[in-house]
Amino acid sequence: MSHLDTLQAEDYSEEVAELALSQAMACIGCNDCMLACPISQSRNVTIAELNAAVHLPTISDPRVADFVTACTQCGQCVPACPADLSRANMVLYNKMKVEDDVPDYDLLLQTAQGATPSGWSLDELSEQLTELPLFSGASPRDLRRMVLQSTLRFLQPGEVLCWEGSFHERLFVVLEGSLEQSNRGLRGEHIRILVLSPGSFFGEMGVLADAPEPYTVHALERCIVVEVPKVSVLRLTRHAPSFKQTLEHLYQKRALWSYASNPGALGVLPEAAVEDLFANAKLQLVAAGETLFAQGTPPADAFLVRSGFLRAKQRTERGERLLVYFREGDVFGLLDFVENSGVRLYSTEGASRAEVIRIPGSAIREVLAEYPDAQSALLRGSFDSDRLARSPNIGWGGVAAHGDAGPSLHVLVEEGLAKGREVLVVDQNLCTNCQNCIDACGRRHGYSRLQLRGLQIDQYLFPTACRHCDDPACLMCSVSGIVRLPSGEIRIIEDNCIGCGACASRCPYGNISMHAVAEEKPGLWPRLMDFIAGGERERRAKQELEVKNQRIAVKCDLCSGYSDYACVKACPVGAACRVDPAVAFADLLKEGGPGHV
Amino acid sequence: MSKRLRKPRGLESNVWWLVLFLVTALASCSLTQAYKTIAGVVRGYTFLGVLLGLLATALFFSTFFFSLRKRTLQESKVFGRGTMMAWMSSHVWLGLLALLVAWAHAGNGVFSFNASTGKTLFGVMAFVVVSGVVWRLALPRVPPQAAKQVGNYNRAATEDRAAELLTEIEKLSAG
Repeated sequence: MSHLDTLQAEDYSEEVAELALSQAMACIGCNDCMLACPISQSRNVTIAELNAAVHLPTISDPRVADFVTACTQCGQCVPACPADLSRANMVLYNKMKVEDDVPDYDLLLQTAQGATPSGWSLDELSEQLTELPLFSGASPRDLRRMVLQSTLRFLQPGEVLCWEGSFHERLFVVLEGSLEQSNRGLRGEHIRILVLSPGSFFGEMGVLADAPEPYTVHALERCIVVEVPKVSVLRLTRHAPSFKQTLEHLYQKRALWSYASNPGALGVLPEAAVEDLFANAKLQLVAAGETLFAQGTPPADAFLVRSGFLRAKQRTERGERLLVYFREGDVFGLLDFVENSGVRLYSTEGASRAEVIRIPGSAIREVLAEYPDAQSALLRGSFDSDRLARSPNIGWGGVAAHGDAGPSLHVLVEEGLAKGREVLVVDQNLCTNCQNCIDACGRRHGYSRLQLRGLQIDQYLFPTACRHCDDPACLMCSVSGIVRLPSGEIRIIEDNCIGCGACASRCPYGNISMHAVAEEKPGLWPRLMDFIAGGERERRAKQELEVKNQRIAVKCDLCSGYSDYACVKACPVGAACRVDPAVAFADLLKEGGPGHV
Repeated sequence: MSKRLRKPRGLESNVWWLVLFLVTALASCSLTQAYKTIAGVVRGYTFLGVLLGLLATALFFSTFFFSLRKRTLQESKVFGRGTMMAWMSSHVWLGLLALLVAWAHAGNGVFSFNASTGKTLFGVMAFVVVSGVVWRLALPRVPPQAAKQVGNYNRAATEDRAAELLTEIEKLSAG
């Protein structure tokens, strides 16, 4: 009986297994995929050996195990395949088998000083986690795979695990002891939010929404937490629906709670009315281009933007016009209820990935009926964006192409600049094109990460330098070759990067490039000695034998580890600077839409 | 929306350098005038003349640090400090100051019809400094004019790059 026949749904995904098998059957064994593969482990293994491993119950060949562990499924092999096959499922299937073959071992506990034995073995901890309500429904095997990628962390009383506003993108599960979630009030006072006891978890905001941590978390006593990386959490959500539900439910609850306690424009309503509105509200993710509601439909709900941008458009006899952009904190759709509009006057769609809080129309009607002053309060409220969208004299001239639109909010949003946090801008009215910024970057980092080409809006050039996006697409690296630091910087970890180029192809702005790894040049004396001893000839001979040149992903990391930016500091005329578009172009963002620019 | 996103700060601003220039100019003039009153003559070979000559030389050579800072000393912990904007200002203003102090060093001797090595050197130095000042004055005026004429500086480069990529894609598709 084949190993595939013995597969069970909880062990491996049957679908993955079937796809892997069918791909192995269709493979013609030419090995072109392995020649196209950028990782060095591909030199030691053939596609035939990988195909054979699909049929084996366990993978004992270390070369195969090494390869499937290192593979990031970058897809470089796909265009090389004459049979037009993607081997992602084969690799995934073999990868899972390799993970499951890892023998039980004692886990280490990370402390501030180093690592000590934890007292848990891999299997013991996986079993223990199945007892937590969070992981109910997840199989021990899935949890074992998750624990393999996780870190056990020990904290002394008072030790801070994460700071408010820092990026972690990890799920933290408390095993022992207790921690406190807190933040700072307007006057800097300490506000305790929650005490996290064993079994509690946090970090879902970072994992599910790439958001910074909303609270500072510190240990109240000696405690142990499991730190699960985002990739493992997302993988588990696919395998364990109940785990996904729990995470998403809490995420929505916390997001709604934070808005209910600080409702922005809705603050004109009595506290009880706000509570009523948020009691039935739901968090909704809107993809770029997805329509939230269409023009002409009866108003069903009102919306509060939690993150991202949405565009309001209106179709008229004169053509389509872009009315306004809704951004974080804006409330829209509410005036339809207050003014008793029969139909929506405009349609709304996601301009980028956005999160909105959907407040049901029934709740709004109830609040309007129950609180007599609510209607007049809401009419006085600052729903500027919603009012702007309903104005008849805005946005004429159609949705302009960015080349003609000038430096408007439209361009900032549509080109993704509004999502950036530290965007490099070169003022062309000052730039003398001396290339000093490029040279300085090259001198500091070995090779320049900056190219003076890219989007130009009016006199401002936005060169191809990393924008450190709020929702970075490049971060899905299975070997942690590219990570986000707690400060928000996106950084390539050179020791982890295997040069597959997956991050470079994922970056929507083309801001990651691949460079051949430059060998460090030894000094004159070692080179002379090497030449005399014949080492240089040996090195050249080895280089000729090398089939593939090792590559590495290169991108701007905001000069991480330095106190300044090489490019900005090197500009002799002050043309180059790093800006947060939300601050530097705040006047545009406040104005709201193309009609006001 | 045409605003300067990066405003000059500290030594990047010309204000501080102008103050330094004026103070030094005033001090040099007062010193030479006082020396002339006491010694009766201000020339390069007098004690004050030699002193000011040394100062002018030091100031003149200090402007070379701009070029060194731009490349070799970029990552130096000592000289790598400050922005290139500040170093650029120092390059301009210290050069001007060097010319002024050199003038004070030569005193009235610089205005005579007989040729001398000192005068030639002063002339060359003046030419270098003045040409630098002319360039510095041109620097903020040329890019905006050129930007209006040329439009997007980098459009041509981007188009070239797109053409290169297209060729690469065609090569790859052709196998």
